Amino acid sequence: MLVVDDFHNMRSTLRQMLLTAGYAAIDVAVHGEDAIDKLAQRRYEIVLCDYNLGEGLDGQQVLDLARARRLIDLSTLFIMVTAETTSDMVMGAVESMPDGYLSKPFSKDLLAVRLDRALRRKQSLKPLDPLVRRDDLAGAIKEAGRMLDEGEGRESDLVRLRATWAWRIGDTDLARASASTAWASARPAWAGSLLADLDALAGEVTAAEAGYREVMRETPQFMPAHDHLAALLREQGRGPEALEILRAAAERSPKSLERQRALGELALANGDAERALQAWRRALRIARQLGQPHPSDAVARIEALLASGDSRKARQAVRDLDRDFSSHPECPWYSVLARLRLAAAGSRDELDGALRELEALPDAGMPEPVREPLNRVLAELGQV
Amino acid sequence: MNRVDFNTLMAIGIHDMKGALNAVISTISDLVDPVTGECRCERERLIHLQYEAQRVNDTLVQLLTLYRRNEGFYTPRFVSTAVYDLLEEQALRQKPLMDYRGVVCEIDCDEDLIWPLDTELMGGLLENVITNTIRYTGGRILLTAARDGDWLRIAIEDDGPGFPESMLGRRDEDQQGVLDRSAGRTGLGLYFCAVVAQLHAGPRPEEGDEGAADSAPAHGGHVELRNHGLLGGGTFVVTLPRLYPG
Repeated sequence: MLVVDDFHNMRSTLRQMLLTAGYAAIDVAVHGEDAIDKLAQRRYEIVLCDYNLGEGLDGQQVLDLARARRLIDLSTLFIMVTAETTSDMVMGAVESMPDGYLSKPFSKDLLAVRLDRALRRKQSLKPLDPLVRRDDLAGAIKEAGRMLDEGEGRESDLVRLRATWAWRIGDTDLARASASTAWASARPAWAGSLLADLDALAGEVTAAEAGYREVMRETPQFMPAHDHLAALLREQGRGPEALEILRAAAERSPKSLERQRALGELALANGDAERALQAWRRALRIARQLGQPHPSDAVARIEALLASGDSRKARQAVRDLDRDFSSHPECPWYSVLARLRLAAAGSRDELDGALRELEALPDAGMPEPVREPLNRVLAELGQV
Repeated sequence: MNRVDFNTLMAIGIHDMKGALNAVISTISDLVDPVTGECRCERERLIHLQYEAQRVNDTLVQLLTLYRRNEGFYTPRFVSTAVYDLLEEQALRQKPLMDYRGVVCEIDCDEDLIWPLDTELMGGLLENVITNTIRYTGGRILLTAARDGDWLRIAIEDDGPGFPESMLGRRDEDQQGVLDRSAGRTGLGLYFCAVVAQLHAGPRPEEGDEGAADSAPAHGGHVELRNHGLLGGGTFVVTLPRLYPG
């Protein structure tokens, strides 16, 4: 078991409580990054993680990252510990659900009861772990089906997992059937959102939009519905509406890197340079926190600065890019792209230097996302 | 709104607490043998002490909440809450008393059910109702919660003799009947519960969503007492509208 808390006192209190409750082999992590390191080193059955971890990653980011990097299994129990003051923030925006919550202060009895209940629920998913670990989703779907048939494990969990796996491997019939079953009984947000995804995929735009909105009304904390609706509206050429949805979603849950990036793009495309600037600033910060900084975020911020007419700051931002991302292998490409943008926005003195640098770069090394914007800005500058 | 005068509530509260404290004092005096001065620390008496002290605490919490509401400075904080966790926490809090009385408490609720509510208010309500139910149940208590469209329904059921006929039905804070003395010591508690339910009210912030307006609960929640429930005894039901956190 891994206990994550930034306060020494809390860590030892929790440890003591857990020992009394009969849990042994307790490791501790002192902040989010430490937790990720520990999770990468070994598999834990239980993670008890405080939401508020000080400066760096918060508990939700630890969970999201651990799931994204597959540092925890399906059957790993992840309990989020919240303080009373943060519980509405934590519960008010759920990117990916922990398996349970514990609100401080709590007694050792409550800790024991809640762990016991959640463990029972998670342990039943053990047979699926090896399949999911080797990405055998078809196998996992089959096994979940068998478990459902034989009444093993918790039905609602199995139905949900089967539906999401089916969606991922493109078995839309099974995804729809499973989501419909769940939606008809308890109307869980994931099911409503998945049904809307399926509608969107089938080109049923009106139904999809209504579906997302229904989920957002009933379960506003379920963030994927907001993001998917914004994407759908954007595809339909309804940029301002999409922007409004995404703006509200980013306000509700500001720590998602993907959402800030999407918001930055959308805001710029809709002429809201201020909003775009704010989103890219946040994206840069979150990416650094998550240990995945990328120069493309810096270029996007430079673009937003130029759009807001602040070319002085934009020049400064290019220097920041060169400095902050000097060790990133793709940095030269993004730096050139940023300089060409400056030139296109009126700083002609940047042009010759940027073109020379571009000449010197090996074409084969060009990152794919750079190609299209590079061609565009070169065309704008009359350099094609 | 025809609110009950706070002075009346205070008088009832003081009356309740006086009774509880009397019981505490007489129990404590029983703990010491008047002749030998020996201390007789019996489990039964300690549980009883705990129960009466708990009741004084509950009453003070209730009076304070009612006072703050009355003065207009209680702003409920609606927070998305795992309902199962809330029920579990309250049941666990009263486990010593239940164990002592041989009462078994079960929870029937979807573990994934999340509802926006003021946890402090609802904690106080559940604590009050469960304490009361422990007194009247035959030996079983069932806590259930489920959503019903835009409403959440929480029920506390028992296998006891049920509520007196005169107490049955929906209870609103405006009804003076809630404070009927014939209802005994539950008067203030029941009134408090009605207020807590009613405090779960608020506008729905969703703009431009036509469907939402029709189903929007205009008023807050309410409480209701019934008999012949799932376990055959009394059922206390609290119904809360879907509100938006923040």
